[in-house]
Amino acid sequence: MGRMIEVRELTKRYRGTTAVDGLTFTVEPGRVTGFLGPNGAGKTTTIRVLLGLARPTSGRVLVDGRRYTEIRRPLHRVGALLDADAVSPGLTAHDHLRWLARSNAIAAGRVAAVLEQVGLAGVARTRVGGFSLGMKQRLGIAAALLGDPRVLVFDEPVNGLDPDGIRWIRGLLRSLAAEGRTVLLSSHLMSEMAMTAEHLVIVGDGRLVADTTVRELTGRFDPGILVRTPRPDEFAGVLRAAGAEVAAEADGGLGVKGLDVDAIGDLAHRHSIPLYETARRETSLEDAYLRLTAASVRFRGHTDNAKAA
Amino acid sequence: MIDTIAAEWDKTRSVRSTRAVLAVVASLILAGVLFMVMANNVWDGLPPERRATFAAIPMERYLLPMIQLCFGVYGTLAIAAEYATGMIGTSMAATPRRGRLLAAKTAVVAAVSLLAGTAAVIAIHLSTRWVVGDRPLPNHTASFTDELPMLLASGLSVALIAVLGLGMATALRSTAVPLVVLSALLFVVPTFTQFLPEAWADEAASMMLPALPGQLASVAREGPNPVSGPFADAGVLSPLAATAVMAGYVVLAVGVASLAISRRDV
Repeated sequence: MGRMIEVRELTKRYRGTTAVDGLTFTVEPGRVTGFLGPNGAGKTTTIRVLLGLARPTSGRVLVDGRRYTEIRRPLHRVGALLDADAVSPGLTAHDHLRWLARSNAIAAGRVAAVLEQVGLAGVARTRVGGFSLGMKQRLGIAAALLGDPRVLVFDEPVNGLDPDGIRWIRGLLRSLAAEGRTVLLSSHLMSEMAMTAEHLVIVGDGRLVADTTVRELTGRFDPGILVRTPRPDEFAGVLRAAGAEVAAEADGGLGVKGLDVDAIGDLAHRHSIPLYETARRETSLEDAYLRLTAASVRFRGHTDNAKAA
Repeated sequence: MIDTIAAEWDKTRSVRSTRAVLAVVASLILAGVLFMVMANNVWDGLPPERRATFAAIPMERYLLPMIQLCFGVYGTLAIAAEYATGMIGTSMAATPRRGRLLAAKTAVVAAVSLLAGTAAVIAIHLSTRWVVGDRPLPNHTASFTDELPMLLASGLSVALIAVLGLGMATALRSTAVPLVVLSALLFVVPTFTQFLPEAWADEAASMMLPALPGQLASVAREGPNPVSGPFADAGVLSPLAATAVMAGYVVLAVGVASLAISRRDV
C-alpha cells in the first residue's frame, strides 16, 4: 500500500458557497487518474486542500495515510503543479528551482536534471517573466518532479502548451504512472483525459459524479451502431423483433443497440433487405462526460446555484 | 528550519528588488558625500562669528529615514511580491508549516537589513567625516568610538522597520498599504505627537520610530533638539525602555502576521 491519495468526506465552504461537498475518492498508484469536472466543480479546491493550502471545512485528504502538512520535506513525496503563472517574474528558471530544492534539502544536481527533462535546459538562466505560458507550464512540471516524488498532482497542465508539448506531457504522465507513481491529472477537457488517463474521477458542483475507468464509462454510454438501408421502417421492425433497441435518426439512418454488426448483417441477409452501411459509432467520452455533469448540475440547480472558482 | 532559511536567502539574493533597494541605498551614500561637500563650501566661506551659529546635521542622521524606508520596502516585498505573483502557494507547499516559513523570512529580512543598514550608516558617517576633515563643524567632532553606539542603534532601527514592513505585508497581503503605513510612521505620525496633551506628548514622541535609535544609544545632542518630526531623535526613555519599545513593535507586527498566515487559506 501507500503512495496513494485518499480524499475522505471532504467538504469546503467559502462564506456560504460550497466548493466541495462530501467528496470521497481514492487515487491509486500505477496509473494516471483523471480528475475531471467543469470549471468551478471543486477540482482546484480539492487539490489546494491536499497541499495544505486551504483548510477543509470537514473531512480530509491523506497522502500515504498522512496529512500533507504533517509530512517533513514534502517535496520528496508529493510533487504538484498548481498555477504555472505563479512565479516571480524576476527569477530565472534555475533560481526558482534552486530555492525550491534548498527548501526541502533536495540535491542541487536535481535542478539541472529536471530542467533537462522538461526541455528548459537552454533557458535555465532566462528570467521567467520572458517565458511563454507553455514554458511556465514546463517549469511548473520541473518543480513538481524536483524531489522525485512518488505522488504527482497536476492541475490543468496542458493549458498553454503547443501540440508538441501536449503530446510530450501525455507521454510523460503515462511513463510516470508506469514507474508505479500515483498521478492525478485535473482537467476540464474530456478529450485530454481520453488520451492520457485510465481511471476517471468526475466531479460536478463539488460532488462525485463518477469514479470509474475510461473503458467502463465508454461502455456505459454506448451509442450503438448506425445502419443505413433504403427500407428503414421494415428493417426497424425486423431488428426490434430480434430484440434490438432501434431509434430512427434524423437523416433516415437507424441507431441500433443490443445487436452487434454481424447479427445485423445476418438479419438483413435473411430478410433480403439491402444494407448501405453498418458502422460502429465512436463512443464520445465528451458526450458521456457532458451528460454526467449536466445531470449533476441540473440536480443541484434546484437548491443551490452558487459556484466556486 | 535551516533549509527554509537557506531557501529564503536564495530567494532574496535572486530577486531584482533586493538589488534595486541596495542600489538606492548606495546612491544615498553618494548623496551624503555630495551634501557634505556643499556644506563644507558654505562653512569655508563663512566669517568666524557666523560659524558659531552654523547648524550641520550629520548625514547618517539626515539620511536615516530614507535608509529605513528603503529597507521597509525590502521587507514588505519579501512576502508581498509572493502574494502578488501567487508564488506564496509554492512556498507553502514546500514548507507547509507556515510559522516556520514566516520565521525564516523574518530571520533573512532582519539579518540582511541589519547588516546592510548598519553598513550604510557607517559608510555615510565615515565618508562624510572624511569630507569634513578637521573642520570643527558642530555635531561632527566626536570620535568614531563615541559615535559607534548611535551608528549601531541606527542600523538596528533599519532592521526594525524592515521587519515591520514584512509583518504588515504578511497580515495584509498587500504591498501598497504597508508602505503607506511605514511612511506615515516615519514621517507623519511623529509630527502629530506635539498636538497631544502635554502630559503625554513627551512619552508619545519618545515612542515614535525616529526617536528610538537616539534613546537606545543614550545620545545627548549638542544644541536644541527638534521635538518632533523625522529628526526628533531624542526622548525621555532609558536605553532599556527604548529597547522594550522596539521589541514591542516587532512582537506586535510579527505576532499579528503569524496569526494571520497560520489561520488563513492561501
